[in-house]
Amino acid sequence: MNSSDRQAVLTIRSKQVISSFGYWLTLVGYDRRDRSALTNIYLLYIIIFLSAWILVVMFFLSDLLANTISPFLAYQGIAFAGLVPSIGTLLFVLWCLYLIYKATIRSPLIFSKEDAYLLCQTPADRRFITLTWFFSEWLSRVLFISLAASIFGFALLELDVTYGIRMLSFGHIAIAALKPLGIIIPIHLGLYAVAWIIGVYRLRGESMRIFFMRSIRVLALIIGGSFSVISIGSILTPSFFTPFQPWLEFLSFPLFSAFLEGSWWLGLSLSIGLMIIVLTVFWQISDKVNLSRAAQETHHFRAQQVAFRLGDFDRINEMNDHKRLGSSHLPSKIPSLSGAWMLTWKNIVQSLRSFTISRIWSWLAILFLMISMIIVGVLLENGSFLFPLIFFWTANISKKTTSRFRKDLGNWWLLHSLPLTPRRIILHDIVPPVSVTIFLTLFTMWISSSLGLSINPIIVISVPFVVAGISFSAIFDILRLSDSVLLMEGRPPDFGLVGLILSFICIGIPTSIYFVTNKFSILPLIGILATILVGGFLTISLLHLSERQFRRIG
Amino acid sequence: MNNPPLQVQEISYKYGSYQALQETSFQVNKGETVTITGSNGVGKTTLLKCLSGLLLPSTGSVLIDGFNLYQKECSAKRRLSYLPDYPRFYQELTTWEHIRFISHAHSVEHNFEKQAEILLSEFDLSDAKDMYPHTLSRGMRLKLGIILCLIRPFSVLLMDEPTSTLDPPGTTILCEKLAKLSTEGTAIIITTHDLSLASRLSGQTVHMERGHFELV
Repeated sequence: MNSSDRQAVLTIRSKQVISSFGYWLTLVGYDRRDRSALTNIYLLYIIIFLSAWILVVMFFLSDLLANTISPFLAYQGIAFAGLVPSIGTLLFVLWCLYLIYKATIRSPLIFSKEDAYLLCQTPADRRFITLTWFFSEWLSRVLFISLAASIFGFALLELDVTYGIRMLSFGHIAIAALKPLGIIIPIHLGLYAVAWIIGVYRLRGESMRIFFMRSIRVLALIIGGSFSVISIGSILTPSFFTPFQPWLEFLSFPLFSAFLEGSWWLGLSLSIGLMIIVLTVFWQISDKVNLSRAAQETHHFRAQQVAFRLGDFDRINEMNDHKRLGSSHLPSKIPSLSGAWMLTWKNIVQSLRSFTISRIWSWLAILFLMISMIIVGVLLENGSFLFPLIFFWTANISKKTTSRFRKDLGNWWLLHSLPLTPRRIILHDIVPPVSVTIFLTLFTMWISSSLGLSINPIIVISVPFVVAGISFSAIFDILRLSDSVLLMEGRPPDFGLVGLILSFICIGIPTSIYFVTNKFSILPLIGILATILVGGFLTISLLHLSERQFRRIG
Repeated sequence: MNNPPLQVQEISYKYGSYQALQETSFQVNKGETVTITGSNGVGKTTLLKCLSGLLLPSTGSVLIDGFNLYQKECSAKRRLSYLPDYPRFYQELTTWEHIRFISHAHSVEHNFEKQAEILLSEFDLSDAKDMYPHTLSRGMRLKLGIILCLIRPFSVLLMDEPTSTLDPPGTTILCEKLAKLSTEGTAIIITTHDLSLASRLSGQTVHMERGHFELV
């Protein structure tokens, strides 16, 4: 492989890394395309601010850790501090076994579909690509463990200072962080490379490796389970696990020497030795990796990663649904009627096929929020807690009752071609989830009143109007934000602030009627009638607005 | 009243300040086929989207059998069939269920299964009738889109590059179908880059240039 090929590989990878880094910069308002001096100054400011902020948070966490450890240390002495390297070793081993387990199933080299065409099919040096991907992935992963090790180093330093051993200086702080990092970083790199060795070995392609990989998976589970039992057991009942003690001490020696007493140089030598051996093996076997196979295994995962970063959860759900649905299905036996009722038929078939436990959870969330609102509102009479609960309840109902309609908007060509009025389309998509929500809400109220909590009839009678109002408010906002071009690409918008404000109006009006009837001792029947009239008017108006908005899409 | 199937009255379309479609009026009579050609970005897709009601034109109106597409949408849509260049489908419905859904939604119940089987067989999709759309190739998805357009009654057919990913047998079948529909009185508008397709279809060919037409 010549240097220009290497340069090309490095360019592709660095662009990917910079782009993922750019994602975080975008979150803090930095525009990478803007090359003005002001933007560069802003970038410098962000770097300085975030560095200082991270350092402050690290000191805060280390202080918290030191304060937590301090009483135990005073009570149990150094024996307690000795637990930390043992637990650290256990976590390291379990983490490495998890990575190995994953590597036996899916390639550790993650490629996008574009990589599959642009990179994986070129005759570029496999070893160079593998090592480039390995080190760039590792760098993003070592950051968290380095921060955690430094925080623990600072905590131990603070404990030393608390016990009056020495005065704190910049040198002490630097050593407190660098001492553990010197050992932990090579161990982390070595263990990370072990998992990649397994993954890369699998990608070299001989078919007999299926059995070998299965064996490694089983072995990883057995080792993980046994090591957890032995490690935790030796902490809780040391006498029972005495025969394993020398092994555990040997394994935890590097971490012991990193954080506590012990030969730091020996710990450093061991960790660097481990790293060198593993990296040598990795270098040796990384020459014949089947990159196309790696891309085939990981492009789906990569697409999900990108969708997650963009906050495109619809796309993630769609990809998961494709996976779950498989390739084919026998025709549905659910009887169908003609005309608009086919929408209901389609919705039933879709709901049955996309049914998952997580979709039940979102209904249960509405139920739990309703229960919480009744407890906080009726039992505790606490208005300040009630407001956030109402907010989440409203947002949940808006989301849940409009999800089918949004999906239909994502198939705008088919939906638009139906010879149905917007009103019928909206109602056929909305009525089932709205009915379920009304039922759940009334059911919760019935349970609450059975338990002796008194709920005003005006509140009960307003439930259908409030739920329908919230739903139509969200629909109106979705339609308001809809654009034909985006809908044709399958990208329907979600409801926004306008939808939420209209929803709060739908909640606020019956609540106001309730308060007015209570305050001025008006007959409850008048309050109920007023709620029905106003709620009905509001709901119909919102439906009418939604219809108009539907016709305006384009 | 004997209205032409498609009457276009002074429609134009603007994307922001960009005039994608110049103001234009025309009509397509019963049994007429109009093939629109032109390079990318001249407004072919925009025109068809306006004619199908997917885009609201900046000015003008479209009448389908005398029904205004933006005012009497149900009556107009019953008579209008449109195929986009990249059709999307419901991911949870199979090929067969899509056909069932569209035909029943258009109240085509009588003989629908026989018609669907014939179309599936003609477009070589019989083996894919229980498959989900995401497992179909682009060409197969286009064929499914064509079947969904043809399974229901209509008097105006709009197709946006219907042969872009079709195999040669699929193209031949489509041409035969279009010829038959034309003799039965359907007004057809097709956009394409494939000049050989334009020559295979009888009728007018118009060339689009920057949002306006020229008769070829």
